[in-house]
Amino acid sequence: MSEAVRVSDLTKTYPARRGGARVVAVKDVSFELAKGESLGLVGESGSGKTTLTRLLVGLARPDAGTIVIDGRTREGRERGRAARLRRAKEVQMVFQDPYGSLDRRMSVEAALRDVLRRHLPDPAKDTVRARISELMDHVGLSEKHLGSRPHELSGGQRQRVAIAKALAVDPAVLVLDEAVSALDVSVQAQILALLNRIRAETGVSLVFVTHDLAVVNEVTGQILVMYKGEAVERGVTAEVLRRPRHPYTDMLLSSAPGPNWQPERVAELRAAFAGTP
Amino acid sequence: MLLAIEDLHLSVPSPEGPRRILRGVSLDVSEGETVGLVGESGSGKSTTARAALRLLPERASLSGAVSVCGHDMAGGDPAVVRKVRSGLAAMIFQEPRAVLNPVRRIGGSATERLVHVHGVAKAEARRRIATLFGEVGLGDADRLLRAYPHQLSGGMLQRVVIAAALSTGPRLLLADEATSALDVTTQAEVLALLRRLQREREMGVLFITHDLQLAAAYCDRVYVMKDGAVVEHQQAGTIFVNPSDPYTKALADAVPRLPQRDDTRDHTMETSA
Repeated sequence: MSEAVRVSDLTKTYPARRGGARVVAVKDVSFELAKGESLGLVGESGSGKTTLTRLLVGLARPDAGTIVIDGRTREGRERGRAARLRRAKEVQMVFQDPYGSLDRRMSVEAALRDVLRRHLPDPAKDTVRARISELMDHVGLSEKHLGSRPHELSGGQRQRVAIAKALAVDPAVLVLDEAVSALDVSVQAQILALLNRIRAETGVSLVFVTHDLAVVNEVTGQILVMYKGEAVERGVTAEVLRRPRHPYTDMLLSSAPGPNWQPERVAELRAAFAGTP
Repeated sequence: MLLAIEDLHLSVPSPEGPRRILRGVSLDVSEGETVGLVGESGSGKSTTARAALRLLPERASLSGAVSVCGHDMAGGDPAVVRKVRSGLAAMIFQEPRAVLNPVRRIGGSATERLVHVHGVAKAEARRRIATLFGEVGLGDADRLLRAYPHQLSGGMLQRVVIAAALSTGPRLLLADEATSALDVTTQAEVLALLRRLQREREMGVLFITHDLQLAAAYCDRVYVMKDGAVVEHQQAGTIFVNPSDPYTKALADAVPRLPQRDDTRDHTMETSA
């Protein structure tokens, strides 16, 4: 079993406002992700990438299709604490704003201990402490940060803590939802390097949800481009970015600022695209 | 010169003694020019722009010269400050939702400066804003004026804010991360719009961003700031090619890049559209 994720024909709709047809957020999306591989999930706001990640982590249930993670098929009606804890070990998520996912009253050590107590089979003091130092070491934080609360850390350090928390349960898949978008470029580069190292060391699979194609280019092997809920292009990142086949991918690529970038040209392309069905 | 800042020092008192926020910043913006101000968090780029409008903490101590359209803002004469803020210069920020009152209709927020500062009649102010909405590519102005901020997307709200900023006919526009929260495609649309409006009105724009790629592609000249000082000043086209300062070089190296495109099919869009 070398696949961490296998998603087939996933569809999710939401009820529309009064009388309208249901809003299709994700439509017939399929993809696989091998263990220790990384996937970039790209698209504009409203393309369905957030819904897709919500389905992956179990925050929403699909209308149709199957999700297999780490060899286990996600059941339609999973309820209760045991199922929740099991899902947590399968997929973990890191968000754009670590402030939102860290309890401001808790020190780094308390936050990590909290996660480990819930998940370790043997939550003895010594094992927990050993695992905490291991995690801190993993994400490049020193022991002196253990006593710090979120507001005493920099943005990059906070994101490292969020990553450590996610890694604490040794998940099969780590979903990073715009996790580096709010960081300064130099800090962003450090975090991306860190994630690459963690992937190599632990064999965790990474899903990068982002609108930043350059980031996807640097850290992912596979790419999935979403538009209006559908996966319009899928393939090896370097190839897709070099030779986009779908016009939407092409438009996304020309939107990214760089040499020869003309905002007027992008606006024209987008207008032309909005006209196509 | 629309904006001239010379040897600006700024410090705020703290328990450990004065904290120096700006250490001798000099920059200028002329008519019709887009000038980039780049740097990481805490480099002082926002403070520099805010100094142009004197949007500074009361306790801050300031030295150096700041002038907007020839008016001295460093002296802090209330009449001058009011004149500059109410008409000559305007500022737009990253998050339009933080600027617009969520329980007030768009029309009320957008006409605020015209009605309350310039004494324009309400109906006339709404008419002028409706015209500006057309110019920034927002249709159905009547419905928009009655809408609340939560009913619009981020891209639309940022256009509303731009229209409101332009309503008093500013000569200088300070854009502080104005497109950073938008999708790349929406960002490009808003920037295309901003460039067109700027050319038509010969405005000067100080474009603050943390995105070095964007600054290099969009601006005419770029200043790079670090720790409250300008470390580099260059034409935008050459900033990646030969950065003179080691910090700029480090920044440029840290920026993730896209691979070279195989542009054998440049006109994909036209054929499929």
